[in-house]
Amino acid sequence: MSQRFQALNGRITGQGSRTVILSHGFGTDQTAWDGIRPWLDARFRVVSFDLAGCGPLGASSYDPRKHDSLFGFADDLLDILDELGIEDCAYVSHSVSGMIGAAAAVARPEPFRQLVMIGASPRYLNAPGYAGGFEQSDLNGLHDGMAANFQAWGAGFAPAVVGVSNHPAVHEFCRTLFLMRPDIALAISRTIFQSDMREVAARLESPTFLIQTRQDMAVPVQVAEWLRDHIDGAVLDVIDAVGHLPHMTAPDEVIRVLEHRLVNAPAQA
Amino acid sequence: MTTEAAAPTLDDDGLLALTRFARMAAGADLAVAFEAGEDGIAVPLAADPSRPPFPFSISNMRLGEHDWSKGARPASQIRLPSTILAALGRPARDVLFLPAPTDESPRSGVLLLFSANAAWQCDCPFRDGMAQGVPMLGKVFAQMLTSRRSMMKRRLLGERFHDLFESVSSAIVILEGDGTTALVNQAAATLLSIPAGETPADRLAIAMRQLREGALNAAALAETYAPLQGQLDYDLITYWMIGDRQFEVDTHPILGDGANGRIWLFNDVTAQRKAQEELRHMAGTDPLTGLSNRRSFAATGQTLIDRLRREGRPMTVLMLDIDHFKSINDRFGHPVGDKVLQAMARRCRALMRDHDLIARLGGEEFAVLLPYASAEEGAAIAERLRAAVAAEPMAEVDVHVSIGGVTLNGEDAVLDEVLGQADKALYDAKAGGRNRVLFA
Repeated sequence: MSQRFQALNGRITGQGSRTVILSHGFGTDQTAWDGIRPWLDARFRVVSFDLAGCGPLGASSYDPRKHDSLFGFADDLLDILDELGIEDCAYVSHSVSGMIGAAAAVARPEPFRQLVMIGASPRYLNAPGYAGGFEQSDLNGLHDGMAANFQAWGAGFAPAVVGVSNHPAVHEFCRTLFLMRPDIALAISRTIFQSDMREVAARLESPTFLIQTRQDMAVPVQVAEWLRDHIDGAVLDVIDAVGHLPHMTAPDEVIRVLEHRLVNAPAQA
Repeated sequence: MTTEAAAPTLDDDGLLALTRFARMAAGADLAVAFEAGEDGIAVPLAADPSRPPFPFSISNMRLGEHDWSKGARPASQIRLPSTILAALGRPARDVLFLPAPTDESPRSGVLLLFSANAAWQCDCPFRDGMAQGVPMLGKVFAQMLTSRRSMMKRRLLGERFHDLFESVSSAIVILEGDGTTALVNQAAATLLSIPAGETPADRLAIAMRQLREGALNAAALAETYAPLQGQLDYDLITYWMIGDRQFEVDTHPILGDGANGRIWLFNDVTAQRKAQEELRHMAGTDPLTGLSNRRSFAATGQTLIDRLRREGRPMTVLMLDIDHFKSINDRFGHPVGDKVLQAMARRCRALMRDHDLIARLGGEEFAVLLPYASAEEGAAIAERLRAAVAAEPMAEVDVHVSIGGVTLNGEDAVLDEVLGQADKALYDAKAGGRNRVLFA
């Protein structure tokens, strides 16, 4: 019945009448939510899973053709909703999972009562009139480094993406990054960084809350502003934190926004 | 950026046109033609009006639960992949699926989507009639997918063949079955001095005849090939000596039937032949002196003994050993010792008759077989050898040699025993003061 959910190492915790779905970002797995999960568990039924290719079951959950685009990951999310019979949820996502949720919510808007996107980006490459933050040459360099020596690349990438020096999250990020098979990590990274989900994001109709830190090497604040301006009714909270993984490095700041956006002022169903 | 070999690309104009036709005939807002195997991963090949969506899984779509011959179903009964809905750009109201199963991709088909607020409505009076015909298009799609697949295979095969054809060092000529044209690879073009690629068969025939007639063994080749004129199915390997090169020329009918054409393979075997000859030579030769080695001497020696016994003729065997060779090595070094051995070999060789055999058995020890030499003649030759060695220095070193000899007069003998007797005589010569000849 819940084949896909099991294949993706799905977990359900917490208590509450409302369901929160947690979807992590590249390089981590669902353990990235450990910092805010206790707070969520006290208030919601919390569903989490590992994205295809990630976590301890990553090598068997990933299909190079299906997961060649973020839509393949979005279909996994829709399968989980079907398998668990979820008709109403708040979807809390980090990084690439922001646009995965967008694709899923555009395909099937009804179950997505709210979307929370931490450090989301619809396109990482710069384009005319759009500052994604990366040039193709940057990405080529990144992927050449990954392909040449995954471990060495990861050891350099982790502190940069975490953005807070000597934080335990650097070690955690490395641990989950190195759970991935290097070729799959490279393929997913390419899929993410070459994606252009701007049209999909602009079609979102579900209430969307964007969380962005003051400084994030993966996502410039202009990208968050682009999303705020192009998603109907979207709200952007720039929190007092730095780095790409504030749910790991500044969970209290993230919780403060969740409390404000999900608990105190829940959108009308 | 990608290092993978590019898959052959096909222009899918036909498939795209059919996809567009299916969409218009059905009055749909989006048509996506895809190929899918048993694993349920669909790879979109053509879409109209959008670009093809990304690959998706059809396993959870519930396509198989419906009878599509009855027309479109509400989209709520189908689980539509997000990439399809992104391509549609609007919510879907209805879905029609045209199964187009092929042998290799049994779950292939065409998805037709109708959006909730249709952008386009066909007012054409034949619309209902056309729409009823849409499910029949599934078979056309299947045929098209099958031929697309086989075209892709052919192209891949063709590219592989071309790569092979041009990358091997052999010169290759392929004559078409109808005998009008030939395919010539670059190596063959160079060998035959004609352009590579497709060449008229008559032009090729002239070039091949010229090459053959210019061979050193042209006469023998002409004799070999003449009786085959007019035969269709012969296969044959010959060797053409072209200048200082030697070619192995293999010709045979394609797939064993001359009606399919004929293939000619030219392999330059010069280096191979030379290497083989050298190897054969090396196996029987002492590398330092170029004389026969012990193995070669043993093989030839026993044969000679047996032959002379049958003929009842005499034969003398000598064993030579350089006196105090160890001290030459010790005093002047091994390079000088080696030069002495080489000079020794040259000097002895010069005194031998053509049918005499001299070998270096190892170290400073040599053996000589003198067919037809009686004891008297043998002793004279031995003495000449001894004197020649002592006559002047070798590598600026004074060298002497002791020689033991034995003569056979047609009796039955084993080479090893004969050598043993000669060796014994040599020992006595050494014991007797060296630089001398002694016969058993």
